[in-house]
Amino acid sequence: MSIDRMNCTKIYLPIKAIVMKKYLNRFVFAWGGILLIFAAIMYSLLTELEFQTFREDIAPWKFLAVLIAVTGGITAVGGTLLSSKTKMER
Amino acid sequence: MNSTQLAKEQNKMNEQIVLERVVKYFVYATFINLGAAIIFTVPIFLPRLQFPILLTEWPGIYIYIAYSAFLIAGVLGMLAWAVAYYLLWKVFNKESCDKKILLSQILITNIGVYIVSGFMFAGGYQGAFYAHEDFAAFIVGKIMEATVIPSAIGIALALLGNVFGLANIFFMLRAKN
Repeated sequence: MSIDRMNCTKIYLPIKAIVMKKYLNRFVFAWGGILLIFAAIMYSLLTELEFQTFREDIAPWKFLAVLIAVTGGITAVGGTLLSSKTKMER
Repeated sequence: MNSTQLAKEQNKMNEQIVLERVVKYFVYATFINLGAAIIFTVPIFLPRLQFPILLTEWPGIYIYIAYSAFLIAGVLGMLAWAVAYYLLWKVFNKESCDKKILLSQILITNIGVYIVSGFMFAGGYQGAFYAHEDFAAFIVGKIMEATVIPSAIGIALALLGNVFGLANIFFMLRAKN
């Protein structure tokens, strides 16, 4: 029983690290996707607001939406790259 | 159970948080927001801020909306989530939920609630102040415009936080005990 446990612990530690990383990557990727969707909706709504109200101060907010989209894209790609790294490690 | 399964199981346990603690987090959030609501109410006593008269002016309704939104989403909302997780724990016999989704839910919901309340209050107060000073409605609207988009972002964040909560419940109900 105790030998079994020792063996499990030896094998278990590196595998645990890999599995945890994979889980984190999925979460990071999901967050990237959420940010991208958020930015896309924000940009389209700002465009609609601009056409309806002719407000002049929309441009900085549109720029913010683009920044959020870029952040989301980088986050999603980062999640994917980390994910592929995990596969390589396996 | 082989080592990989054991590792996955152990990892799953690390990524989970017990519902008893989740309920405590939401109750803490309720009390913190309740304290904040009391602090936000105190300025109504200061004569220099002219709240009693400004609340009767047209854009002053946004002050009410901001305060109500804070109470409904920030105080009662957190309490409602505590009750929801408590019911999932006691009635549905669920033990734990995803830690990251839960933390995302608490953070995003509260950030959204504070943003929407703050900006909507600022817009309402500014608008009521200038309307009371007999500025034209067009100018008052222009002054308030700056707070519209941040308020909308706050509402969107609060909604996103609640979507995270629903997703968490969905994953909990789908998972086998």
